Amino acid sequence: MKNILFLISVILCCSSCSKELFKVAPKDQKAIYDEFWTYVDENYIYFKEKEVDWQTVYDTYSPTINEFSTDEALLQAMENSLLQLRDNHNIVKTPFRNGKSYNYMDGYEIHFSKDLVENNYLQDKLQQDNVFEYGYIDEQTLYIYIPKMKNFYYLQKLLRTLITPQIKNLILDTRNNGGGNSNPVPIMLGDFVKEKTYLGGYIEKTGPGHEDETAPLAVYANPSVSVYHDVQVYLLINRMGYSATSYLAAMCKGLPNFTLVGQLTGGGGGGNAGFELSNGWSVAVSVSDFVDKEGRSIELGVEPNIAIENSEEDINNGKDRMLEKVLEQLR
Amino acid sequence: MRLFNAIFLLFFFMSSYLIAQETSNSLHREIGFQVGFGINTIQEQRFFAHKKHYLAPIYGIVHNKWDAQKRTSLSMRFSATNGLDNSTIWYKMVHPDVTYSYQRNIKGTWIGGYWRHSTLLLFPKGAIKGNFNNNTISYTMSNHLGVAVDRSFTLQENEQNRLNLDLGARMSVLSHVIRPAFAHPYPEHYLQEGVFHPTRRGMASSILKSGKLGTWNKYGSMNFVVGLSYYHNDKVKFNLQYNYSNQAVRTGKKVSYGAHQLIAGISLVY
Repeated sequence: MKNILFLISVILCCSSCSKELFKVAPKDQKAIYDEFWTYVDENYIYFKEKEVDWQTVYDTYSPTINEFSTDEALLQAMENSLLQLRDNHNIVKTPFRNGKSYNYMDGYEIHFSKDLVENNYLQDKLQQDNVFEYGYIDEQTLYIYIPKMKNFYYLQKLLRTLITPQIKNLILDTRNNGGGNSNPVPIMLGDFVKEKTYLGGYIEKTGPGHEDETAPLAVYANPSVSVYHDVQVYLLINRMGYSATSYLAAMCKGLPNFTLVGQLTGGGGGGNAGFELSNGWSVAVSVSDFVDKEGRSIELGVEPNIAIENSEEDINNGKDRMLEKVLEQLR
Repeated sequence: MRLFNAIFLLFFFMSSYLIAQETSNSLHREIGFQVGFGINTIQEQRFFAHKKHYLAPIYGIVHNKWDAQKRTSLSMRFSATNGLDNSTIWYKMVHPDVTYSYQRNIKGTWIGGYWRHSTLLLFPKGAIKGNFNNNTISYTMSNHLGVAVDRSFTLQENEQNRLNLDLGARMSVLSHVIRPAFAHPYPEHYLQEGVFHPTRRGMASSILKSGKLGTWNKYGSMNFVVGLSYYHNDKVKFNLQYNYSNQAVRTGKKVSYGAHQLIAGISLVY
């Protein structure tokens, strides 16, 4: 019986060894800042593109935190650190408020009115289908407003219905579209290509080092079976177009029959990934990138083929110069 | 190292000092159902910095077959929970687990090998889960081969009933583990030209083609069991066991999963 009791003791001792497998969770504010800083250091993908020395950021903000710092002070140190990276996909969320995020629209003239397009340029009122709104400039020109990057499989179906043999021109207006899901875009673009066409490449982080990432993973548009839209496509873009909208712009740019008109998009090439800190807050940073057909990251924005922007005065005077530039191309 | 020494000691004492119960030459089979709960501790570096504790129910089926010389055992368990964490993010956990062991009787101690498959799925939930839009899942799919040792001691016995004390240990030697390559949920095989697709088309197949082999220092699995089994007429068995289980991936984004489980079971012996 003694032996049995001894054995049971050994087993229980073994099970208590599990504590060795876990790191002790940091409790004080300084340790939590360090945890935050390390997560960003090991996972963020754009240090090189942003030319930010993350160690310098640590040296600047870490001394502002000690074990007695308030939650607000800790959050400010984190949000100020992230703001150095100028990436709207980076964010800290806490139960009491979310950290400030980088405003990629600062310094740009962004003026757009959907009502103005509807009232001054379309034959009739815009018709809504799903999240999309469409109308006709003339018998040959279809206008579709895409307010968010959502339900692109539905958009593909809608285009197949609306692009009749009379339609020669298609205007896809993505202005003020803040993003969403760009994953179905290559499938939709299959309706616009005759042969397998390179659209760009995804890059994913593969390890904690700043250089640990994949080579660009190519994405193609494969021609759809029995559908080909033989139309001129104009994609209207502005600086408010962010994230998935920049993906759309980058994938469309350079395709036969596609012309991008407007402003540099807001960028946002990163797909972010979240992480929970020991105090229950969460931080997310960009861990992937997308490069266009020339191998340029879209993080800083996608340039239009024809650059033009509206002023506030244009809109007040009932003019959409960006749309008019497209119409000028059609004549 | 302390842990390894303790396990070695356990095996040593089991095989050297204890007296085996008597076994008969006829073939016995047992099929049973189990239910219990586990106090789980998880550390998953893909999602969180600190340990998470969960209370989760466990359901299981066992099938054992043995004669005087050899024994096979199949155990299938399933555990799932939405978590019991107070933070603003919590995690849904799903954990199926299958173990098959084959053992020979060596002086009353059952010694042999085992295969264990374990899948641990975690899904972030809660008020501020919006930060996890691109990493909505973490998966750890592991297959382990290792050493299995069991021994039973008869504590009380009469013509109709018997009460046994059961001790058991499993420790992996070689493991194959599939995890996401890094922060996003893509497995390593998926991050190749011609395989990757933004819609995640074909990712399930890539998950099965990914994975790495490793020994204890990289991927480990172990569990220890202390149980009481009450046999009535050698036909029905009632069982209550404490099971400690631990798995760890010690490379890349690390994950550790430990559980203290209390499980009750009823089996038909035939």
